[in-house]
Amino acid sequence: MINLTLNQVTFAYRQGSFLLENFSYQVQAGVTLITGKSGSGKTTLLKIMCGLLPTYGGTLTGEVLLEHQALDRVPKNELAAQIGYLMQNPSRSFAMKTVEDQLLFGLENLQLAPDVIWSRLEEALVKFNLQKKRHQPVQTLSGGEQQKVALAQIYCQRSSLILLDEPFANIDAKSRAELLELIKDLKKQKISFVICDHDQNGYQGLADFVYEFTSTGLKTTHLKSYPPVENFTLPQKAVSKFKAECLSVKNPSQVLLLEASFSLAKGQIGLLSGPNGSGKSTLLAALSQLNAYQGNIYYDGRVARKRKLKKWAQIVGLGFQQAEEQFTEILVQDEIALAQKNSQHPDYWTKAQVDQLTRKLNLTGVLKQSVYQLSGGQQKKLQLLLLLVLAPPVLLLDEPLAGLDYRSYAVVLENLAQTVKDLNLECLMVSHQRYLLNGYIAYELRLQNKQLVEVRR
Amino acid sequence: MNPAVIFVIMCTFGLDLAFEKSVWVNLSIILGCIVFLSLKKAALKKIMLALLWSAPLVLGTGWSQYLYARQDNWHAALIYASRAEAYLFLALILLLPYTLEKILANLRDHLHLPEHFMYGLLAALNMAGHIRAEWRRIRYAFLLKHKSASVLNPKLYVKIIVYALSLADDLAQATTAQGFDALNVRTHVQYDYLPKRQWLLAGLIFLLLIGSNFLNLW
Repeated sequence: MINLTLNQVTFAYRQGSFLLENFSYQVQAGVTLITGKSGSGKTTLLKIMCGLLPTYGGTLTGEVLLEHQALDRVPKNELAAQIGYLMQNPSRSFAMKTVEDQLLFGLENLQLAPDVIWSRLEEALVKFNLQKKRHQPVQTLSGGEQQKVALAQIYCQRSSLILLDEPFANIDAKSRAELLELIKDLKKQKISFVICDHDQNGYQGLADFVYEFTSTGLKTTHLKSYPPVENFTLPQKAVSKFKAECLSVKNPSQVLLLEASFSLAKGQIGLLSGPNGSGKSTLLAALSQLNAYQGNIYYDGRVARKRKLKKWAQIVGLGFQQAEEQFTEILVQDEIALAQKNSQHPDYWTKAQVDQLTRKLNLTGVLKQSVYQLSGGQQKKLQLLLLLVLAPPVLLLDEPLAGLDYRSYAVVLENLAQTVKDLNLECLMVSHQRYLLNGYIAYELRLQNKQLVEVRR
Repeated sequence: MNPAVIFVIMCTFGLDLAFEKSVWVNLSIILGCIVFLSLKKAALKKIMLALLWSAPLVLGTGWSQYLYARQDNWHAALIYASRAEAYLFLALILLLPYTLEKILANLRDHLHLPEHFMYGLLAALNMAGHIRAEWRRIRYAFLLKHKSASVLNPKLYVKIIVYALSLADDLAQATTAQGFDALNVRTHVQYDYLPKRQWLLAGLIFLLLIGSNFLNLW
């Protein structure tokens, strides 16, 4: 068990805005789960613990000690061999092209002998079931598979402390269960974990310590989990102006969907579910005319292909999986102002109404900040706020609930459902998080094995 | 032939060609490159595509010499046109038979290319797909908000630059977390041994090239 201690650490990205104030913490053996509000500083804490901050920004006072030595004095390769860090968005952490190259890159950094490198590589590929993906470009893997590659890389480092930042945000229940089993297995090998996660399902029997993050320290709390719902109680499905006929979608390596016909529903939210890599995001992109497809998509009787993308974007609003991609302005307040200016329901979205939603989503304190300085959860909430205010007739949302704390999750869901109902929008969302959805979801489309099946009540 | 040696050949021959005024020498280099590419079984389709893309440049260079050379217009046109083709083939003998990863790894191992430059370049190229996909999404995000998504809109470029910087920052942090430090020695599991005879061969061909300068070939 390594000795990593934070003593009276104060950290700020900008003058006067402290995320940590006189924060003290010593890492404990076992699995530590840290929860807390979006934007509270959990990612910042993990980055301080693995030595990325203040090297990559901000000012830090106090001590961060690894085995009684200042962390910033430990050589990077030695640090990686002791502390592994999984970023919130692993797809942005791969420097190399293929899975094998990426794992080799990390191993070469550790100055290990070549035979040790190859043996660790082979072991990691087997343990994480990546043998068949060995020579595949990492950027073509699904979110869950990329998560596995990132974890496999940390496993190769043989770190005795692993820091995981929202490790299950964009992965399906099956992959989540597999990864939790892997964590259990690694825990038996005396590897300690510090995990920041909003979704506390699955940690029963695994997490030894559960804390809530505050700027001055960690407060002991207990696990609060909501069981995922397998079968929803579904109401009558409403009529729709948006439908697809004989729709086929593929990516460069395989067919994802074969001749599917389906429709959405006015004033209701549908759930698009399916395992990682099944093609949910690609399907949403095709419905938005961002990707090629075969078959036809209709809105109000007119074929989508006959409409220019400029016009189609006024009808179909796609919420990207990465919230940052949704923004066109620099400041939060500018984004909100632009959305309000271009709202298709200005009578509904008055300034007072927009301000109220901004308050509910806890974004009032960040209005003057750059959108790129927001935490992952804050970006998600801002993204949804913008899409709701713009209110296109059709809303396609890719993982709008990923990475949100329970309170934000409930607020987002409630406001999404209310707006969709009030404005008679047609909404289809992708979500791996299935808890608390009962009562909000009107229909479910399951994408699996190239088929799209509508789940009936 | 090791890519590091090919790289040195490409640079030194390319430099010498700038001072050569001989169509025969240029054609000999082109022929030598074609022979090398055939031995390496380089894709013919890629060679033809490269020739097609370079055709306007080659023809334009030759034609301008024909129009504006002070004397011996045809000779001047052929010298410059064949020189442009020779440069193209010198680049092809490096780029077609070897992957970029292999080229950069050999330049690092045998010509002391800095490691952070090598991995920086590889990471940037691997992220090119991200940037392409992001460009489409940015334009869509602009259209969603009733803003112009014309390629002439400078805000699109501000957005893509900000995205690229954010991506670069995340990547830098990730590689640091993975133990990368440009100042540290790293293991190299894949190492191509470079026999001295390859350098001798390259040197010999280069001497022949230098010698041709004194023959005043046409």
